Amino acid sequence: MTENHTLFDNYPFDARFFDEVFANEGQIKPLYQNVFGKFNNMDLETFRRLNDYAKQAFLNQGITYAVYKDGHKGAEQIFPFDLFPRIISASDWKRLDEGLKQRNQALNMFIKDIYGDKKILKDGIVPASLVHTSPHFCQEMVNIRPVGGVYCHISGTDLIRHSDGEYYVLEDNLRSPSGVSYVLSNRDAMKRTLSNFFRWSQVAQVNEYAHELLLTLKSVAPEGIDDPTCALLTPGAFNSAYFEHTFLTQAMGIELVEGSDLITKDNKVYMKTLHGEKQLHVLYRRIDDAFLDPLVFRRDSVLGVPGIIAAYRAGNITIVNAPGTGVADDKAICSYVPDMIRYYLSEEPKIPNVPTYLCEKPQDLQYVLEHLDELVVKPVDMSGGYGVLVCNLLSKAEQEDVKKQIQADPRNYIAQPRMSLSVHSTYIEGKERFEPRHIDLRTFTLTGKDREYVLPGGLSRVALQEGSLIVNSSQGGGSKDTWVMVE
Amino acid sequence: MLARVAYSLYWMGRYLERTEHLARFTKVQYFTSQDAPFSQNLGFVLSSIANLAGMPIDKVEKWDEQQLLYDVILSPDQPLSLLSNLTLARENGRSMRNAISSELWLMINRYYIFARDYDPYYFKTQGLFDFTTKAEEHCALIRGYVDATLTHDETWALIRLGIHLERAAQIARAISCKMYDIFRASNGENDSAMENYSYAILLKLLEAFDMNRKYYKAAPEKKNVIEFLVFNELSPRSIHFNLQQIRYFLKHLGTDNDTAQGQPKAMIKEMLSEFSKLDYEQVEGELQPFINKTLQSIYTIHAKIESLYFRGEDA
Repeated sequence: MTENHTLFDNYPFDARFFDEVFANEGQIKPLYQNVFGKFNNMDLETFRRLNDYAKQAFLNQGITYAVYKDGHKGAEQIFPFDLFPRIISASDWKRLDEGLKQRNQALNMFIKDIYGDKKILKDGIVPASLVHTSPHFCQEMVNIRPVGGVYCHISGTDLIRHSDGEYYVLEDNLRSPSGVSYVLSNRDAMKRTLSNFFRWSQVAQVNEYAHELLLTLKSVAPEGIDDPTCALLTPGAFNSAYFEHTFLTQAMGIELVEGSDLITKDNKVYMKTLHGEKQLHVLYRRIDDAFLDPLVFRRDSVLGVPGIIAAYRAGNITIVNAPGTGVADDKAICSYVPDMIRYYLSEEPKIPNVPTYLCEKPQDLQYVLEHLDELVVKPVDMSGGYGVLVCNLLSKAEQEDVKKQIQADPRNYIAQPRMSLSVHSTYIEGKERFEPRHIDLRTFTLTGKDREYVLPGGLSRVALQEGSLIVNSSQGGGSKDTWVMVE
Repeated sequence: MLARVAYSLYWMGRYLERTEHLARFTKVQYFTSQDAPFSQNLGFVLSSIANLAGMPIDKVEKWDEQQLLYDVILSPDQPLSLLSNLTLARENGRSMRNAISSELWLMINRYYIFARDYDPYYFKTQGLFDFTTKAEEHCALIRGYVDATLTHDETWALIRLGIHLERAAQIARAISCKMYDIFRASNGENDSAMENYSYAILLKLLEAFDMNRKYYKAAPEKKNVIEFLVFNELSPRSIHFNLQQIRYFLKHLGTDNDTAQGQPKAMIKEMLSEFSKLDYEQVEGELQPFINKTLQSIYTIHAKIESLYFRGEDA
């Protein structure tokens, strides 16, 4: 590669995929004209310097995550950040914003229903067996009604854009969705690195997220508590999302607690402070249900708080998200969200789901077994891209093994068509130029008592390996700043 | 504030101060020995550095110069090295970065990355002065950010408490180590020229040389050095000054008072009361036992702070 090549020389446009930046070979979409022009006019040395500066800033600030391999903690790594922002038009975002709110309203109503009257199950809209066999169904939540009727306060909905240009919901994350700290950090890095890019752009702000999150937490404080004490429960400094836990607590000005910092007395939860015990009212937990209370769930958990579920049931503390919300992000149940929207809200879904085949259904199972080569198979209860099988990349023998696994436990698998995730120009360091790479979008929706908020944009995740569809940071993914344009 | 966070803040202060002390001691001891008027063989200098770093000095003869300096400063495998202490300071900072300012965290993390990524080969062959000087600068910056960006409340007080308790202990240890060096070098005979030279080095080890000269307007000798490093109430490089600071920062913490026998505030009050009644002449004859006793008292106060404030145990 010569020093005088431009950053977009020989850009390998691929018409099979929806390219967010290019309409055709060499033709830039109007939404990207300005940003593209800035990068295209930049010489390689200048870009390298900016790229190195951004990386160094992430490293200095400790914006890192830990990778686990074979059960051991690996070195801290920077979440790779690409300087070319992903841009979403105001009109597209308006529809997505409405669709995400609609989806989260329906999901909250569904969770309330299945732990209460079970109408949707009785009416046969969602199979009861699917709910009761979900590993995330939480018996302790039956007949509990959290403050404001909100179960899922923070959700992360993953969207993709198919080759038809439409956005689809890939999956919901209703337990402890992570990544929002990178959204805010990416924006800071962009502002510092390419400050002049923002002067002429009307980009929606993202930095109000922490304030909105705090208001959401406070809105669901137990009845009668006007000035609640809130905290975030972390598994500890070795957790891969620990940076995010510290980031959010710092931004909200609340305490970051570990299980050992908390005790329960008389069905109330207290923090152990320098000056004695202080009652806690709202706990934003970033640990799984299984570890939350060793008296109720896993007895060997040292991350949780013995007695917290009793305090929760007594109404003395709000747990965010509520235990048992994971039942609704079971990938098999997720496929019924459009039906939930129609059932609870009498509306058509504003964002369609990626078509999903439930291996538990005999006719779906047959289709999956016969068309495996065209499908992506996923375990229903795993996240982070783990367990995802892009079947056309498997050998025939491996495909046969997959078929056997599915047939042995069909409830545990879903399959989806291989959706053509859109591509976006991304700087490839080894080649010192931009190339298209697949991206998705993790959005963040907050639901409190009488309030809801969707973070404009979200985390655009990039599969940095050529041709890869796996965008997760734990598996070689990176991220981009996401600009929602303001009209 | 969570007791766990308080513990991390206190230890972050201690570890950071310890890294600065290790950097300065190693630099001064190593470089002043290069043109020392009194023959100090390499083994003697290395053993002095190892002694203050807390490493077993009986193994010094087996080490080569580059390896020893690497072990004391940059080795990630030596638990007492500067890098290991800095890693602990940074881990403490990372575990409660929501309690401190972003700016302070950035400074701590930059110091850590600087040390972690420092080229070992360059360090061993020519980087000792560069590394230790920059490490001292990083520490000075961090202290500045502690004072300038944190609200002067418990968070700030805990870090400063850790810094001053560690500094008081390190001054006592440095005096003790230097007295041991003098004893070894003199073979038990009286050698006032060598002794005065060694005490001047002790001042430099503790960054107190210039202020001592300014204060006494005389060449350093045992009396004015010990007086300055132990009893001076205005020098930030004296034990007395740092004990006063410990007392000041303890006032921000806990529910005990200075009449509660056996508890941190009462202990530091008693120690200061004793210091204010003493002078050089009174301890001259028993200087080493006095320094040892002082160091032991500092460690006892530390143990009481840990048990009472951080573990919630009745001291």
